[in-house]
Amino acid sequence: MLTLNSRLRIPAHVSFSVVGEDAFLLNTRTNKYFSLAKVGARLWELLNAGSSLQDGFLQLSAEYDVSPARLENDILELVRNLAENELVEIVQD
Amino acid sequence: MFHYHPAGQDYQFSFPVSELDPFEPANRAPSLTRSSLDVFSNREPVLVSSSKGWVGGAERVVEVYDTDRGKQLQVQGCGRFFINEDDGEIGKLNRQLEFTDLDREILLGPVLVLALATRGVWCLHASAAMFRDKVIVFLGESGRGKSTLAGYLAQNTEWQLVADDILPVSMGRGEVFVLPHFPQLKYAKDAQPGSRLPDQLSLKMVCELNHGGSDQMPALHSLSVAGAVHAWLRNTAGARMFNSQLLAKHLEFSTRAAEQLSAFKLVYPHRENALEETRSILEKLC
Repeated sequence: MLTLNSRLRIPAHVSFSVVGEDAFLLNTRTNKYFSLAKVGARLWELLNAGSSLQDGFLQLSAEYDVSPARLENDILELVRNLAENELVEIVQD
Repeated sequence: MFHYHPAGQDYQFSFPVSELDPFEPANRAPSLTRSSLDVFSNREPVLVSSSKGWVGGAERVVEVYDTDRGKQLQVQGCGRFFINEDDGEIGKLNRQLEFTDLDREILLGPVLVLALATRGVWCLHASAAMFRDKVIVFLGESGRGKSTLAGYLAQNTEWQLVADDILPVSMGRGEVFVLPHFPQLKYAKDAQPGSRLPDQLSLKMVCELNHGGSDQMPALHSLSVAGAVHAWLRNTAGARMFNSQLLAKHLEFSTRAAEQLSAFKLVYPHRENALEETRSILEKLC
């Protein structure tokens, strides 16, 4: 089950480019592009820099005026979507 | 061998390309012998992509293979073609007869597009026209009116046609350039749009064409940077043939180009007097 304590990894087949407040992700296995805007792009930046999902949550809580419950829900939904498209891997302990 | 300089890159072909001016390279690479071609074709190629594309008047599967010395393209029903990245040779493997028109279309189409991409030159599905010294690129799917618009603009004083159909672009010193010396197969040699232009021109802006209703006025709307990235990505020719490294480089190019250049959505109704209205809008923007 995905939670903020889950560990994530960005697979080698994912390339990305950040432009302004957006991030463009490319799954080179499927040749599909994905774009993330603002908060999603910021979370991606944090994950790529080595932050855990929990650290990313705390950082975004500090940067955006949003309730913790809403932010957690949005983050987990985004990560599920990324995982379904093989853009992140959930590391099993 | 016949040496040419399409899109500012040196290549050698085993057949003449009438749409391009030949040139004599300073340090001519030795021509491949039959036996070296055989070695090239006998390496174990690795399949990197397989996609369907419109080639030679039919939808065909195009498979791209990486090899030690370059790439090979297997085009359904047409044979296998190669790009030798060591010496820039482009040709067909195991060729028995003279090049057919279909061979030529494949070599100057998907093969050359892929060869250029490996050197960081990306080919757009685009037309382009230049107002004074300002190049405007028109992107869009077939039927959006790219050729009609660029052709119309070029009939006017101070405008010049730069490309029609395929336009190579590249980035150098942080600037995006168009490279007009590229064989546009729908034009005869003496009518090639880019032949009298410099090797490269600075790009002023890009416009992605969108259909407008016949009662609409033409209009330009600024694209966000993210919208511009999408426009660059979806209007690049041959991207389905790219391996993962090329896809990553192409994404990087597209985002940098979108950051640097103004991009617009051009709502363009298909009626005759819209052309003149569009010209007026574009000239004001320049």
